[in-house]
Amino acid sequence: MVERTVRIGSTHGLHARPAKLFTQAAAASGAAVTIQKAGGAPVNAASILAVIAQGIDHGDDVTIVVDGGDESAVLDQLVELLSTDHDE
Amino acid sequence: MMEIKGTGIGQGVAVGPVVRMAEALPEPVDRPSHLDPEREGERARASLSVVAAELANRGAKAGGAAKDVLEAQAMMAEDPSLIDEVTKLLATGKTAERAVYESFAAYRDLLAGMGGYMGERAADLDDISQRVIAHLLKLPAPGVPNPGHPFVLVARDLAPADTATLDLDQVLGLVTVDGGPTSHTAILAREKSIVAIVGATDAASLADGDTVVVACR
Repeated sequence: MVERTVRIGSTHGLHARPAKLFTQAAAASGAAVTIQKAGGAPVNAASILAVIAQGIDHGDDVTIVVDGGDESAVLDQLVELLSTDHDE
Repeated sequence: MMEIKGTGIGQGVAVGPVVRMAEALPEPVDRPSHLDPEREGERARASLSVVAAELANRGAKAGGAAKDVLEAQAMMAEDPSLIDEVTKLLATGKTAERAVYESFAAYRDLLAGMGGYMGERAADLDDISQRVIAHLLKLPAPGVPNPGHPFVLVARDLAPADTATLDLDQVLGLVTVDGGPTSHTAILAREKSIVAIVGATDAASLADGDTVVVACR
């Protein structure tokens, strides 16, 4: 199990397209992935409804936990996705 | 002659017969299922996955901004958290129709309470819910009708899945009773250069076959 905390790069937060890209990647990874907003509870990162319901905004810190599969590579990929601004 | 006003999108004039889009399905009755939860679960998962595939398909055909919206909707139809919720409700003896309705409604209320962008996604969830329930009931999916001749589409409001697949050769214009200049209908009407009037409250009185002039200026 590996984890890292990352700051959200997309201008409009983890909504719409960025949320879709993130949950697609988490679901495709084959690993169990959770995302947790600072002060919140961890939710299934492969669930777009659970992810957008967190109301994660630009500049928020979130913690990603990856369990199973090629953990480090999956974590790197997801952190990269979250720190990139997809709304540019 | 009667005049109905709303917010015009784009510029132009379209003339043609009205075809109305089917109204929403009634709320599924909350009665105990005569099937066991496993069987209801199979029904629910099958319909959710058919609707997800349809939405993804429509997205692939539509391309552009509509593709992202429809792909996100397809993911919502097969969302693992939603399916967990449906399964939990089925275990209490509800029907698949009712469990799907209640699960989408719970997320709809949650997102609507957040306002802004999330509030708009709330309407998407109502649309997905209707499609899944229609599939469970073996009723025609709500959506753009296909009368086989050019027509002016009159609807309460249009969801992205509807507007994305409008056949320009058949749809002369759009009139919606609800919705404003930033609604999905308006955004996609602009993108596809379809003459549209949104928020035309009195359009609710139009009937199939009425001839209308849709004028935006």
